[in-house]
Amino acid sequence: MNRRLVLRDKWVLLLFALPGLLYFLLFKYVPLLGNVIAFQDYNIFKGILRSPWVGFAQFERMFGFDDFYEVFRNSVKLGFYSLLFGFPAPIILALLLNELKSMWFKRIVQTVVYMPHFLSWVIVGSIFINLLSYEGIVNTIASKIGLAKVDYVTQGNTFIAVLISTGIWKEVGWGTILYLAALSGINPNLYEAAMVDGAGRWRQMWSITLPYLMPTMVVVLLLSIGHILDANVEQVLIFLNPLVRDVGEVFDTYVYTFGLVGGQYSYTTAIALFKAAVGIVLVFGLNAISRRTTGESLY
Amino acid sequence: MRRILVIFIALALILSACSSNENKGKESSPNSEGNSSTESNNVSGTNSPDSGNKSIKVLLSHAEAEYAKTLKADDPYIKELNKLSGYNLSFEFLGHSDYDQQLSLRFVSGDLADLIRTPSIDSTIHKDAVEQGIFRELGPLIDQYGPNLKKRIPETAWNSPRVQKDGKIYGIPVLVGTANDRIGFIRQDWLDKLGLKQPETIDDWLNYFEQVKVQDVNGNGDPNDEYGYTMFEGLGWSSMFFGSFGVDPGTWHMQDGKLIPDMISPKMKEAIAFYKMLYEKGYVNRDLFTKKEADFRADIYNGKSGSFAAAVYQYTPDFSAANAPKKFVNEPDKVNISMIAPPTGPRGERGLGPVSDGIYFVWVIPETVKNPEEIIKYLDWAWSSPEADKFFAYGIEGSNFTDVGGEIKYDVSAPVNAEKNAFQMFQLSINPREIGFNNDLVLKTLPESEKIIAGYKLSADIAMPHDSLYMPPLVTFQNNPEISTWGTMFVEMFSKIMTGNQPIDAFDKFVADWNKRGGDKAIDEATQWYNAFHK
Repeated sequence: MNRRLVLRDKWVLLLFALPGLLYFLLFKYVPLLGNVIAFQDYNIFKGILRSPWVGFAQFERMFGFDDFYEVFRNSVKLGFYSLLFGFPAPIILALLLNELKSMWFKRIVQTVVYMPHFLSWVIVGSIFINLLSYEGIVNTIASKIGLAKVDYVTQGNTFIAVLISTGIWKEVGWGTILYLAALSGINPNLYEAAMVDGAGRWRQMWSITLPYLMPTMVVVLLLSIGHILDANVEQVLIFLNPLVRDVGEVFDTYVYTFGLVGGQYSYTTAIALFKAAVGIVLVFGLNAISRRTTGESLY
Repeated sequence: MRRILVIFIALALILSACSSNENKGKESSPNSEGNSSTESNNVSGTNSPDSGNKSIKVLLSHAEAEYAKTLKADDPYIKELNKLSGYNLSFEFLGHSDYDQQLSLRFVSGDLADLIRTPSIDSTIHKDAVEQGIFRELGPLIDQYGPNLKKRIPETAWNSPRVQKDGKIYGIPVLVGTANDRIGFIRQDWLDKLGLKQPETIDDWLNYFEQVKVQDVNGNGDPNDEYGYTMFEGLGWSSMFFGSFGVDPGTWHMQDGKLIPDMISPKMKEAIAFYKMLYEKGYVNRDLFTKKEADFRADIYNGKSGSFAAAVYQYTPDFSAANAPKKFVNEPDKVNISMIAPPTGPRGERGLGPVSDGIYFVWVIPETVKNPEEIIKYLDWAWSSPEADKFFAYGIEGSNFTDVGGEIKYDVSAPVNAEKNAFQMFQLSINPREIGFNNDLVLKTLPESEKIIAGYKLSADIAMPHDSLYMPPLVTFQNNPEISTWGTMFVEMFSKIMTGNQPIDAFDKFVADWNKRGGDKAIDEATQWYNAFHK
């Protein structure tokens, strides 16, 4: 009797999972097969079945492309800096929010910092471009107090900083959700016990809060490392201009301009496949490292 | 471990819920406000199944025309067109800025219409479509069913590789309707205020720019917030002075038996040096490489621009005596815009806009369509019937216009025509012939029609002749798009020199690089095409 119930439970659970599994199968795994066009000279009228196979020609073309290393370097650089500054930002904000005593103030701040996430990059980008342009508010104020005017969006060395900081500005609030959820799961008794033992706020944060955040941090970090070569196309396309193309052109914008607009499906699929390969290697590698060092891992 | 699993699932949910939208590119449109693309797909017109072979489904872009964007079922203009023509037309308007991508998807999925808008039969949107037999060959059908098409559409358009390949016609050209429409706009009221006559030479222009820079011509108390000339990130559209040096970055010229792009011509170096000087002296807005088109327009309306490159058709909606005061809110009683040719350069050259094949876009009919002869007959009717002439110029009789004993009364600013720019519906959106704004029947009814007709004449006069008319897209450029005309390499070099990031001699390095990256191959390919085409 009891065993039958358990068995039936399993089937019911599987049934619950079915739509999700089907979703992944249909929309994630089946389209993966389409990647074979990276090894073809794909033509939309011939389709996958009749397009000629060209082996690694698309990849050779990619590695032989004069600007390939420039684009690769830009993508790595942008991805690395995004991670370096973008990863700790929501953690710090979450910790700060966690220390707030007044509930209503905390709620207001939380809501306000979520907001930018829901704006489109077209809007956010135009606002920042206008703020930061040579005659924008930032430069007007700077020159009033005697500082030099800087054309932030068209200078190679400030362009990346603009991308990273606007990216953080827009997404940091949204990023705190996971951490705040994890923080609320920490047993308050631990803090009380620590206080009794005479631990100050810093000590509590260091010895209780951070260790409890660790699993979340590791998961988020590993997942974002897999996307290290994925820039935010919408963001970069809005900010990109000819004066910073040599530092701002990344794989995604390259694929967009030459692939989608130019109709070169096979070539750009090859690039995307290369990107994905890099991402997989990074995720597997770092997952293994993390399992050994922190004991936390994705799987 | 379980905690990680929970977090992982939560994360997956968040990620799938917030996965961002696909990106949309931008492209300027033949319409005034070439921006803010609302991706509305409107299907309209009566669509009764099997109503005989007289039913024609049309797939096209709304070209940012406000009326077509918000089209409702049972539209009176489509009804009238069906009544007049005796056909059962239905229109599907796709978004304009991403039309290429959407059309490409339609070709992949096979979800096509009977009559389809495409930039060219050999467009990369549907690469190899002609070779794969996707489009119907129309030559014999046109000869049999569309005698007026050959009569009314000029030879220059039929000869274009955008409609024919290897002597066979696969597309029907839709015309721009004028030889050229590019022109400069200048603030006549500022010229008058400064006591200057309309500038002609480069020195005249520079003098005007200097005066605008020094004085507070817009009268708002700040002498430093106006520029003699303004540009935006669409450099191809907003640059006005290449022609004064006899070049256009988009065109090619024969030189010593080789077809050479103007992009690498020594004259181009002079032109770039001129732009650099404009930038250095502060005659042009500094933020031009990040300026979006909408902000560029806002600057014009706010009285910050003394001159800019434009097209004649933009005059009526935004810059005419009737409409400019509504747009130029700071100087409504003063603003006065003149159309003007760019300056005459050191060798007496001037120009804006290359001579073109006059084609706006091309109609194609898929091979699978059952009634191509009916479609040709319909187009033949549109090109030849006096009723069609009237409809595509003035709309519905009794509503958009009245005809009293042969005298046509059509008021473009009457609510029925002006609201949502409804006139664009019959002149542009469902007009299968041409951009109707430029049609003589329309022009003569406009307020200030003489000024506009003179503008078109001047524009035709400054159209720049070149040797790359009809040149198909080069294979070399498909492999290395960065070296194509107006490609990223050229634009990068141009902007770096103009802003002083690099010295003017960086141009020579660009030419060398360009050749090395396949430019020499492109020249060979282009020369071969030229010799074959002009033999």
